[in-house]
Amino acid sequence: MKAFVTAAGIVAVGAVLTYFALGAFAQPTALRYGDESVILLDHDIGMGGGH
Amino acid sequence: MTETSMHTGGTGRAQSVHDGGVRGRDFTGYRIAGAICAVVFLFLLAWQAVYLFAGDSRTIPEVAWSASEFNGETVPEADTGGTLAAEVLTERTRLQDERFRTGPSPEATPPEAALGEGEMLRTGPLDDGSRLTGAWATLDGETGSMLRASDRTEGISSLPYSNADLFERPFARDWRVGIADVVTHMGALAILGMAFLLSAVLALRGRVPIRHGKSGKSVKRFGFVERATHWLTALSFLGLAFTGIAIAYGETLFVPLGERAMGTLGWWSTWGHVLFAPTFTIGLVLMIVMWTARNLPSKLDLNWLAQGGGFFSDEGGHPSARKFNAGQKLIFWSAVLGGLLMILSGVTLMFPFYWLDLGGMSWAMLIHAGIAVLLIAVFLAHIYIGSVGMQGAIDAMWGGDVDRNWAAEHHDLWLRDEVDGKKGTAQ
Repeated sequence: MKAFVTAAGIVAVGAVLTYFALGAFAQPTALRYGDESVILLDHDIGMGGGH
Repeated sequence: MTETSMHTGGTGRAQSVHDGGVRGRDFTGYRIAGAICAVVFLFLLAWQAVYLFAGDSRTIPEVAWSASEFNGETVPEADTGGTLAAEVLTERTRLQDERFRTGPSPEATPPEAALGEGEMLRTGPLDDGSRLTGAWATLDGETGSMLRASDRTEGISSLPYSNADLFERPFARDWRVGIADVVTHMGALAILGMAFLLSAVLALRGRVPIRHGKSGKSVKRFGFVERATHWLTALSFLGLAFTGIAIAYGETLFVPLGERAMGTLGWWSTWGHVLFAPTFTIGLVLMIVMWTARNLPSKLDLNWLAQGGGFFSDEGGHPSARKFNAGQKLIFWSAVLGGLLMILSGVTLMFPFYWLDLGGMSWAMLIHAGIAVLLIAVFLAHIYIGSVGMQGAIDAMWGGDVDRNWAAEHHDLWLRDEVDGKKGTAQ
């Protein structure tokens, strides 16, 4: 019982830490322009359009 | 329970008096529950089989485009074909591509290729859309021999991105069939099949009993660190399994609950799946350090496997084993080898294209999904035999102490050499 609860606690703490770690490294995948247009960055393949 | 008279004693546990031990069939409640579960899983298996052979699960177009106006003139419905519609769509594509190049500023001058106001499209029902997607999915012999094998199939799309003109990579077609068909169905059959099998075993055989009943004396089986490591890995695995199932089978399982439920579950599952990965990795590494030496194969294992662990009969004892029997060793190596492959492929998927190209990523996903469903099926068996399947087994990982009779029946050499032997040495 104690081992189970300890493990559950570690899993919970690990999940929270991972959540914040991922947030710290997250990069935007889309840009929203003033007219509400959205450009997905992984679709911008360097067309020379300056995005 | 027919030929042996029973008494239930003060603990309420049924014990037969004639053969001097507990029998698998003594666990009537468990067997009824097993039978009910077996019926439910048999029904689900049948449902899955219908799904498997229901035929085409491809997306099939149901609506056809045609031009209703072109160059300001109305096109009669009888004259409309795919060609005019394609031209209109091509013009629109040019406009959108231009817009993509110049940026989406509303002040920008519309390029000349803009879709004229008089060019309109209408839609109508498409009689047999499966012809189209059927040809995309599988080339027949004639088409296949005419077409040069290509890495990519390109054309004109109506999307404002040049790379949207890439329709398909042939190897990606194999990936799609693999992930959406082979692995999905194989996984459903493996998981539901294992659940049915275990339920049926519980119903027909009953629990694996402590043949001589509980002795009332206990011996230490696992220490705190061993148990905590086990549960750390197990809970992380359950988290990964449930979120993974939601990702893989969400459309089948959760869309019927409503698209909002699917959206929420999908979001949490996608995040949650990654959140459990670090603790799973830590648990697995600790297990490798703690238990590898004791899980190396030995001659005893062959004997154990030949006798099926003694699980299928109440006659005779269980084959000899040290701390871990052959069944537990198989579970250990499934966890270690399967877990390491899951971690390697999972990290690859978390960091796409860092060290693999698209083909490599496809394989990483196929391997990840394929091993995942097999591991879930295998660990259903582990969870079963460690809980309802065997009397007294759960105590080993829950409190750490097992009944002495349980230890004597399942791990006789361990009890003799490592528990009693140490006591003897200490005395």
